[in-house]
This record gives sequence, C-alpha cells and structure tokens, in this order.
Amino acid sequence: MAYDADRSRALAREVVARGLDPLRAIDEGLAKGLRDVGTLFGKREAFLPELIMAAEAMKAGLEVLEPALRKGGRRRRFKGRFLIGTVKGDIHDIGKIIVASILTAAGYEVIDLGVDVPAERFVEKVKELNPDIVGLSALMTNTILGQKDVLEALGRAQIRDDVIVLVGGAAVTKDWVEQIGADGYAKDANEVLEVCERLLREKLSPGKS
Amino acid sequence: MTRGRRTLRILTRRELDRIHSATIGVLKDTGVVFKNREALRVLDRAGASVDHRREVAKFPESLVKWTLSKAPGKFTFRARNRAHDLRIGEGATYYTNGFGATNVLELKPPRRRPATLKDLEEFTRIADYLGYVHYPITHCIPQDVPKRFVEQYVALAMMENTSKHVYSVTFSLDGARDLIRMGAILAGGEEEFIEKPEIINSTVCPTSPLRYSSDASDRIVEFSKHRVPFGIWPAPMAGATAPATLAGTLVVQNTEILAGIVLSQTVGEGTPVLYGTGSSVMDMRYGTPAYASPELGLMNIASAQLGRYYGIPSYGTGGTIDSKIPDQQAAYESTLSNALAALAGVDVIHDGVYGILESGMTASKVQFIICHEIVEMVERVARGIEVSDETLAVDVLSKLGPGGDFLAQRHTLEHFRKEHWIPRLTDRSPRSEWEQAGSKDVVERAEEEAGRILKTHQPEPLEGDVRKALEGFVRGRVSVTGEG
Repeated sequence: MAYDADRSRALAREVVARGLDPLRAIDEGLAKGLRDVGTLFGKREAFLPELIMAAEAMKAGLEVLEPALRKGGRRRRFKGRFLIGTVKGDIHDIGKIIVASILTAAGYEVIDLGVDVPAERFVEKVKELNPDIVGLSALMTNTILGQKDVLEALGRAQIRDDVIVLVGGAAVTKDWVEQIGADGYAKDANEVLEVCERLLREKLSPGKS
Repeated sequence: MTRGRRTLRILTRRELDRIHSATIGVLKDTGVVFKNREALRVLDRAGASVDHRREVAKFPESLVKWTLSKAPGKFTFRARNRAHDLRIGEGATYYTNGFGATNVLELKPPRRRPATLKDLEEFTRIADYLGYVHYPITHCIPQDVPKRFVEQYVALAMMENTSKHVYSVTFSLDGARDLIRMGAILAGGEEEFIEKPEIINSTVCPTSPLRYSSDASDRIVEFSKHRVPFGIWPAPMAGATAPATLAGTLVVQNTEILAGIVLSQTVGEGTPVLYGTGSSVMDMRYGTPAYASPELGLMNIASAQLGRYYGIPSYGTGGTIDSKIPDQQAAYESTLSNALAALAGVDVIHDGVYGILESGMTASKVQFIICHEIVEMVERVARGIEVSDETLAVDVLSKLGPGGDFLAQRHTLEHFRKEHWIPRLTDRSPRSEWEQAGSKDVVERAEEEAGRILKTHQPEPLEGDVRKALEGFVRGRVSVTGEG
C-alpha cells in the first residue's frame, strides 16, 4: 500500500487514456485497496492514518474515473447512500471523518456536508440527494441539542420517515436517541457498520426485524 | 501544596525559544479562526489583521507581546470561606478534582448509569472534604435537568456544597452571564463582585486546530469584561487535531492560548488567565483520545515551562485515567501524570484528584478516594528532601553511635510526622491484621471511606439569604421559559 493520492490520480488518468474499463478499475483497484485497508483496520493491523490516507487516495482516483464512468452512462453500485455532517454550533471534524472513511471502505456512498451545518441545509440535501441514512455528528454536551433541531426540521418538512437518522458523539446516549426520536447511534466507529446494516435491513423488510 | 523542589524540566531554553518563534510565525502567517463577529471586530481594532469572510485573525508579534505583558502572573482565587483562598502563581501547586463526566459507575451492584444532579452534589461534597482538592470543578454534568439550564443548576449545586473556590462549567454566552450573576450573589452583591470577581472561574477550550467556536469566543469576551478568571485549556490530539509530533502539538496549543490571551487582554486588561493543557495523542487504533498517555505527562512538563516562559500560571492536566474500572491500569495512569505535573511545578493541576474513569466519561466515588491517596503520595515526593543541620542529624548520630536505636529519640518524635507520609488508605499492616479486617482490597476500603465522608461531612452552609437568592435566581430562569 502506498497511500499516495497523486499516484492514484495518475494511474486513474492512465486507465482513462488507455480506454480501460473505469468500473473495473474502481471495483478491483481503488475500492479493493480501501476494502483491504478497512479489513486490516478491523483486525487492528492498520491504524487510522492508513485508513484515512487510503480513503483520500481512493477519492483522488474517483475524481478522474467517475466522470469517465458517467460518460459511458454507467454507475457504481453502493450498499447505500450516507449523508453526514456536524450539526450547527459544533465544529468538531475528526469523529465524522473517521466514520465517513469506514463507511466508504465498506462500500457506502458517503456525502460529507462538513461542520457547523444548519438544520435547514440537512433538510435541503435530504430532499436533493435522497440518502438512505443521515448521520448527525456532535461532540459536546450542549451541541448535541443541534441533533434535535435537525430531527425537528426533517419533521416539519415531512421527510422524517423517508430517511434513517443516526446520531453520534461522545455525549450521545441511548436515552438521548430515544428522547429526540433518532433511529440509532453507534458508540464507536466500528459499531457504525453494524448499526447501518441492521437499520437498512429493517427498512427494506419492515416487520422482520 | 508546598513549594518544595519542583524542578523537573524537559525543554532547554533554546527549545522554548524555538517553540515560541514557531508560534509567533503561525500567529502571523496562518492565524486563528474565531467564529464570532464581535471577537473579530475587537481583534481588528486591537491591531490584528482580520479576514471577516474567512473568520481568520492574524496577529503581529508586537500585539502578542503587548497583551502578554498585561496578563497577570499572580492572582488569588477567592473562596466564600477565606481560609480556602488560593494564591496562584507563587510557586505552590494546587489540585482540582476531575471534570465533566456524564455517567457514574456504581460497584454494588456493578452498573453504569447517567449522572444526576444528586451525584454532582455528592461529588462536590466529597471534594469539599478532601484536603488536596484545593477547589472543586464540575465533576459531572447532570443528565436529569433540562439541557438548556444545566449551567445554572450546576453552579447552584456547587456553590451550595462547598465553601472552597468554585469553578463551574459554562458552555454558552447565556450560561456565562448567569454564572457571573450568580457569582455576584455569592460575593454578597454587585459592588463586592466588581471588587473581587475571582470568587468564580471557568474554562474556555479552543477547538483544535487553531479555532475558537462562537460560544468559546463569546465566553472569553464576557469573562474578560468582568475580569473573571478563566483557564484557556486546549486539548489537541496529536495526529488528529494537531501534528503527530509533540513539538508540533505544542505549537498548536501555544498558538491557541496566545490568540485567546490577545482577545482576553484586549477586552479586559489584567484579566487573570491560566495557561492550560490537555494536549495528548489520539489512539490510532480506535480514534479515541488517549487522555492518560505518557505523552500527556510530557506535555504537562513542557506546558509548565511555557507558562513560566510567558509569566502566566500554568493549568496542567494530571491524574487522568483511560481505564473503564478502578483497576491497576487506573492507578498507574493516575500516578504517572500527577507525579510529572507536580514535579514540573504546574500551578494548578486540573483533574489531579481525578475520580473519573474512561477518559472523562464515567465518574466513580471509589476512584475519587484512591486518586486522593495518589496525590498525597505524589505531594510527599514533590516536597523533596530538606537538608539542614537539624535534618542531617549528625548530633543524634554521634550521641547514639553505631548500633543505636532511633525509635526512642526525641529527634524522631519531632520529625517523623513531617518527614514520613502516613497513609490512611494504603495497606501496610501485618498480614494477620489485614485478614482480621476482612482481607479487603483498596477498592473496598475506598468505597467504605467514600460512604463515611458522605455520611459525616457537611459543607459549611451558605448564609440563608444568599442561598435563597441563588435558589430564587435559578428557579426564575427555569420558570420564565416554562421548561421544568
């Protein structure tokens, strides 16, 4: 593993220039690389810097390969679309970045809205992108109130039931999840995969859970 | 508490100079984000170069130098019982308890549950009792009060349960303003408070790297307007919110603190600020903060030196624990960082008598008692070895000669209590006696001691009208908005 975004970008350009299949380059090249690092991370053999840098390298390659894929009228297949952001009033980034990288490595399409994101912007983006899951990050005891604001805004826009809402952060508890009516939370980055898969399964086949 | 020989150093003068000049470079060329219009306006007027759209302030060296010269090197934290007043910056090391757990661990039966207001009252009461908690800070954040009024409930609970100096948590501008109003009631009126606002203090944390949130900026401005002392306590995690290298992390911390001091001293010249650190590393396996790492110990020694370099009292972090239960890991973690911070001469060791587990998440009364024992032990070390004619004891030696018995000497009677640490919790009894007493380990003994303190110790009560006024203030806040 080189964890090298520049090389990843250069190799992607070579794929396009030689007229090779961009989807194969993604699935068997970029995505496989990140998946392998994700597996090593799960086994505690690779650490976070490797995981994040591998995700960055994949992103750099995708920037070249995705337009080529679209040109050919084809699309990648994902486990689900995950919209993530840190709620208004909070500018903590790291937890969100880790979760986004783990999800990307596991085959989700992740769209990161950044930090200090107002509730209205979450609503707007849910309408526009129709994600399967929205992840609301907030670290502090006081800023987790912003998670409640987003849930209320989704409710007012009458799209609350269209999307699974996960909340995360050091101060988030099971009680808080129930109090604000979110669908779930993960105590740490590794648990998030389990939670996502369970909730997506339940959503697809309600009643079987 | 005594001065002793707190001479542990890790950086040379030349290395301190290099950290300083790297910091000055970052302040000037990279700048610090303040997500707050008023703060940016104040800094603009003071002579910083401000990009209002990007919310970045860059600081010329002259401005940093000027404001550093205004921040006091010594001040007093006042207490409602004046016997507990603390003179900060005069060479003594003081300890607080741990800060901000949201859960409490119970042992019988084993259970981790959300912290309540009653827990905060009890931890503050134990802190009021324990000698090495020189002033209590907000041990846990109660989860059973309305979230919008946590700051007011916390301040009331703390003021009622200790007669020592109080540090009460604030998150928001409204919370900071109400803490100041409650501080004025505690001080006995507006005028008394203007005279001595140091009856309360709080802490402001930058959001590393190199950013202050809107709330944090507001609180710096508000505290500085009233000359209320506060600590600036950055906690960058090396490798995540700061460079992986410790020197680079020191530059991040130092830049954040100096930028905060510029804002503070521009708003209120002479406002007492503390040079804080909670800097550590992120565990690269889990993404968790390693809050009890050996690196945190190193950062404390460096921070004590940097505080002295700038003439600002240091506010380190010691005693912290990542372990989830009161076990051997908890004990060795708490011991190492406290010993390093104490020997380095940190002015106030935030968290020192920690009483919290799981990197700040879960409070434990048992651990609180054990941590106090650790601090007693560490402070005995920090007091050092006194060398004088009397302590060299050549007279006694020559009188007794080889083979003499020192137990029966007046010299022994006069000195042993001062020279020897005589523990209350630590077991050194003969095995038979230990077995007779139930073969209890330190956790069991600490649990009994915590129970005994809660049963027997009553803090000095607030004067009746002060208590009524404080309670009325908090009731008024909550009833106005109808959230109970």
